[in-house]
Amino acid sequence: MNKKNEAIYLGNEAIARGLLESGCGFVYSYPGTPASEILPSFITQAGREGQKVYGRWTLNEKIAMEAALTVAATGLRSAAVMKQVGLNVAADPLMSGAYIGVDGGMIVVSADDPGPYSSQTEQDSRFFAMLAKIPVFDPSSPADARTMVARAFSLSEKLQLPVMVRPTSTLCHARQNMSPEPLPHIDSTPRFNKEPSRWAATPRHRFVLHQKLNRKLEQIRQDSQFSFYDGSRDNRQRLAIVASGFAWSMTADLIADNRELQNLCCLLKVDLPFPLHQPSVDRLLADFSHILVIEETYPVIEHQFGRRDRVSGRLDQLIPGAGELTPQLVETVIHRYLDRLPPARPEKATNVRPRRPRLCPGCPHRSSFYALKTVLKDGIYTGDIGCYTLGLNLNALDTCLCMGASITQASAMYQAFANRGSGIPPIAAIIGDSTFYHSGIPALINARMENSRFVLLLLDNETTAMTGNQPTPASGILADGSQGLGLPLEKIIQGAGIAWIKVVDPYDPPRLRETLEAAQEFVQAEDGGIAVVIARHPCMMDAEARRRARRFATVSVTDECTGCDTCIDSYECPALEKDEETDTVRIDALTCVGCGLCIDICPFGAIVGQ
Amino acid sequence: MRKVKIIIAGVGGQGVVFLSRLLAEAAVQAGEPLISYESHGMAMRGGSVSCHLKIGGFQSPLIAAGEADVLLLLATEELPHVQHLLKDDGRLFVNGEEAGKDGGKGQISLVPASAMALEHNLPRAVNLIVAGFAAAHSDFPYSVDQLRAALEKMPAKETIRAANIAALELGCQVGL
Repeated sequence: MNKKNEAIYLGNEAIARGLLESGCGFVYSYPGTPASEILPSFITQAGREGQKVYGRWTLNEKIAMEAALTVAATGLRSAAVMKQVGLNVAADPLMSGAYIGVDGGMIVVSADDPGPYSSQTEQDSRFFAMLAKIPVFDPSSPADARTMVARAFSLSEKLQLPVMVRPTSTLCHARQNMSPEPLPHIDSTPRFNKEPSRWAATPRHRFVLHQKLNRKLEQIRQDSQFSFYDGSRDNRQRLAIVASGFAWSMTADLIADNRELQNLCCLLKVDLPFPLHQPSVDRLLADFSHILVIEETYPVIEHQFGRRDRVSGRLDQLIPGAGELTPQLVETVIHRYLDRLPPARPEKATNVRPRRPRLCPGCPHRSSFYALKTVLKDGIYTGDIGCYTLGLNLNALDTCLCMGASITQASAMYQAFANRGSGIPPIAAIIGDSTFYHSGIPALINARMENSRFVLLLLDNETTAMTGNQPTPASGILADGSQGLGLPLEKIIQGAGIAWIKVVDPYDPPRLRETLEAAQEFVQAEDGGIAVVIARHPCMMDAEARRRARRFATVSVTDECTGCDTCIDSYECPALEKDEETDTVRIDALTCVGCGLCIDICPFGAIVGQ
Repeated sequence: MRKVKIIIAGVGGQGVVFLSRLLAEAAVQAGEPLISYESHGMAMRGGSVSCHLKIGGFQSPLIAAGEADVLLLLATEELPHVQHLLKDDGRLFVNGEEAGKDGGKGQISLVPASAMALEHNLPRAVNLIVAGFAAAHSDFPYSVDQLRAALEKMPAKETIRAANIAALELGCQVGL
């Protein structure tokens, strides 16, 4: 029957549980799939059990990393939580922090996204840990992640070193039942021991810190708690499979289901992919002539074996160099390696594409994009990271490089055409409010300094929508719901020296079009510059906003519909559906929010609201 | 210990993830170890969503092709994306009026959940109508009573909980 306290934890909730059970009192994060739920869960679980903690969304991941490293410098336990591309933003403090080290335990949770499903890259954070020279745990399940967080804190404190825990998206979004432990009493108080040769190390001291860091890594490399092969081998087994993280879980389930594989393969689980336990490596190479490494996403363990002739995996292209591992892929790889045919399995239909994601019904961005491509016709639209990257579907977004790049890209496009072109096309940068706070601000100051000219369309839905509606710095609402000090977008933009700023509601399309026209006029005027249009309307994920969006009880399509598909192609509201039988468009009442913004799109006036 | 592998599929906004949490809660109440997976992120914006649930002592929640015992389908157009996961003799419970062209594998039972949801003014409870319908069949791993108990345990606003239970029972009546 039900064990006492047993509950289901999402992978991210299990990580939060691990943080709390380890007595970690400070967590800093910037939201990003697949890591977004960790901080909210940390705060909620603590609140439920009366644990006083400090959890904050920061403007970006660099700030999260700096803050967590600093809290740990006072002897307290802290964590910085982010997605893998966020770690790129936080790379600077991480590299330096690895040399300097910590006093209290400090862990970095960097969640990878093999696939990728919701990211610009499928980079492997474990490689980043290797580059920074910090140890990294690779959990295999939500329960394993919870335990590893505790182990990471012990290791961090023992060696005074930041330690990474690297989950992958499947783990973050897996659920598993487990029995939580009561939370410990946190009685530590901050103390900062001034030690300039460490906390403010100059290059000469950095060399010493680097040597010290190397000694720490060597110590871990020999630490028996990270052994993954003790030399006990079943003599029938001719292949050793070394796996870590979620790749290990898939392989374990596969082998548990297959007696032949059980007899042939010795499956070994690596908890700490870097630095790899050296005695295990030596014993394995002595006992097995063939070793197969299965890991996600890059060959981190494989590289450390250093024996290309006897170790297979990604480097010899037995495992594809891109994409997520699946149970079938792992099965095929193992069978191919053993010169056997994998069992026949049903094929996935190849002629169907999964339904592509699209902006929500009633999303104010849809209206903004439609106005943008109408007014700045044939323009270059530099985009950014958020829901509004889906402007791609509407042909109203041309680029997506990284967080905050839209503004610099618009500026650089302008300079390329202004300096070397025969004419300057209309240029617009599209950025969301949260992304603007994250890294758009220095870009805007820089673009103005260069005297660039473009329209900056700031899609302000007053939230961080893509990742689950975390509050933005505009409101100053903090991660635990308490009130901090807010700072409106307009003030920042004014402060950056931009004089042309207009705020408009995208639910009023004629005004939005007029505003964009005026903005483009200013851009092209003799004394023009950057024109900022803030399109402000709340996100439809907010129930109140959805209720207020209903301007019509029903929106429907009349017999005037010719089936031209203009609405579907250029507006792509999920409520607009093609009726294949009649070859006309219909509106799905379950999906429609009644905003009626599609009414004006139909060239035949066939969409009506009542 | 019994081992069961379940797939739930639909499109964003239909409550696929909620249904997977409901079955997970039912597993916990039945004292069964469970591991499940839900697709997230972009799926929230109307894209394809699917959940894998494995009950009974597994390491990974991912179900390989041809291994799912049960498939709950909230949108028929999603069938081609998940059908290969089902066993040859697997069990399908589908929100729909008629079997799709590609049907043929497994034993299929249909319930017009979208139409029922509109008719009974439960527009956001298509998922629970399908769940109630499935649970009325003896070859579904959990009974309607078990799902109702799980719903009562899960945190929710009282009005939403009531609507969810009403939808569950509505689906169940059709399934009996």
